[in-house]
Order: sequence, then structure tokens, then C-alpha cells
Amino acid sequence: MKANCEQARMSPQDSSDAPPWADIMKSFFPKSHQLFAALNMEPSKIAADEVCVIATIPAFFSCEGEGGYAHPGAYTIILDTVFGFAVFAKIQEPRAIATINLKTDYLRPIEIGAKVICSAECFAINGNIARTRGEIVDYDGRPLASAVGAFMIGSGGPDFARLAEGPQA
Amino acid sequence: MTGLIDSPLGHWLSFEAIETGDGRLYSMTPGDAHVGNPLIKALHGGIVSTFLELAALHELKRALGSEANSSAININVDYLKSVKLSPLFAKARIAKVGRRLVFIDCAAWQDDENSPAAKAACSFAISK
Repeated sequence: MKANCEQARMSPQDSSDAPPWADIMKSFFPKSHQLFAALNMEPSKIAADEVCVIATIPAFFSCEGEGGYAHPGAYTIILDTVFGFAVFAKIQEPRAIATINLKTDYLRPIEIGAKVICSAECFAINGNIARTRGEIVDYDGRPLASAVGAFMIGSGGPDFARLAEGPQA
Repeated sequence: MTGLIDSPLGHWLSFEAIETGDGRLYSMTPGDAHVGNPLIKALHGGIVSTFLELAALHELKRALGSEANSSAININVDYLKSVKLSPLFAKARIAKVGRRLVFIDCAAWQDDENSPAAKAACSFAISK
């Protein structure tokens, strides 16, 4: 999985190789999304079996004064985001999804301002439950975090579904 | 102790810790910068996770002193409800403080403490 993403980083995917819905997926990373913009998240690969996103750890993730290492919560934000897109890439439609749970192992701290690569796959869908796994590596390929997540697809999550149908329930 | 609250991350989340008769109450005040799904203005799951983990870290430093060195091993978060753009509260409970490990459970809610929006199990390695 990592090797593919490394390759994707070295030579951005040729649009002719990309599935037709990849552009639609990429449009989900608009600069107008404040959080995605703050982390400078850019997809480098979107395929049914893998999504790779490059992100930069922003300065506000410091929890020990200015600079230094980032709070590991930054990893969970990137992983939760990329997991969501891995589910979209697998089901090939932007249905409402919600994270059920997310387990993240922190393997190595990262400095503020560093660029990281997150790769993820949705490896199973059972009914309306999607399972994802993925990792974050630095530009030298060193593992920073790995995670697994479960997502609810569609209207299974009562709160999410109710909110999705209209204004605040 | 105020280090985390005064940190860039604490400011970004509008993170606060309030001493109550029943332990410490943590809060964050979300804004548009923390939205995951703009269609329903729901808070991003990673933000909720970060808030819970910051509350756990604060609780750890409260118990062990701010000089204690800790590094997070992992976090397991369950999302029980969609979190809307209104203040989020949390309490952290230390499950165990060992010589080298600390385990902390956190729960977050918005309107009703008995109806949590998320819960997390956090583990830390410490060196005193």
C-alpha cells in the first residue's frame, strides 16, 4: 500500500489512469473547506482500493508553546478524513457516512510544519458498515500512525440521518 | 497546568478546564474551522478525538504534575452521536496510573451528560 502511495507522490497520477469519478472525489477537497484547507490536504491518489492524501501539520497543532511536536490529534483528523474518502472511493458515491469508531496507534511524533502522507483503504463492507485501515508516513517513509475505523453508510445512523434530512433536528 | 490551555492547540479549540465539586470539567467551543461535514454542520470526528485526548492529557498532568513526561500510545474513540456546533463538554477518569503506563477514559457530551456524544479510551507511556 505504501509503495503505491510513494509512487503517487513521486509522479502525480495521470488523469487518464484515474477512474471517471476521481474528479468528483477531488472536488470534495475544496479550499473552501476550512479544516481541509488548514491541513493543506491534497489527494495524490484516488482509487477504489486506495486513497492517498498529502497533508501539512499546521502550527496551531502545537500544544507545548510555539513550534515543537504536534499533538497527535492531528493524526486522527487526517486519518478520519482519508478513511471517509476511502469509503466514498469504494462505494463510488458520496452517500452520507458517519464514523462509528476510530482506533489510532501513535508510532512517532511529528514536527509542526512537516508534510505527511496518509494512505487508506476500505477493505470490507458488511451491510451498511464499512471497515477501513490506513497509515500515515513521513516523507522518508517512516510510519507515524496507523489506524482502523468503522463507518456507517447511509441512513443507518439515526442522528446522522435525521440531521442529513434537514436542518438541526 | 495552564500550559495546554494556553497552547496554540488550546486556543484553536477554545479549550478550557473548570474545577467543579465533581472533578474537572473540560470544554471546547467549536466554530466553522472544526466542521467535518459542511452540509449538516457536524463537528469533524478527528476534532472530537483531539478534544478528548487533550482532556485526557490535562487529567494526566493534573494527577502526575506538569513535569511528568508522557507520550500517547493510542486512542480508541467511539462516536455515539453527531456533534453539532455548540459547546462540547468532557470529563476524564483515570482508570489506572502505573509506574510506566497511564490509562484514561473520557466521555464528551453537549446537552446532557447522561447522553454522551463520544467516548474515548486513551493510553499513555510516562517517565517521571
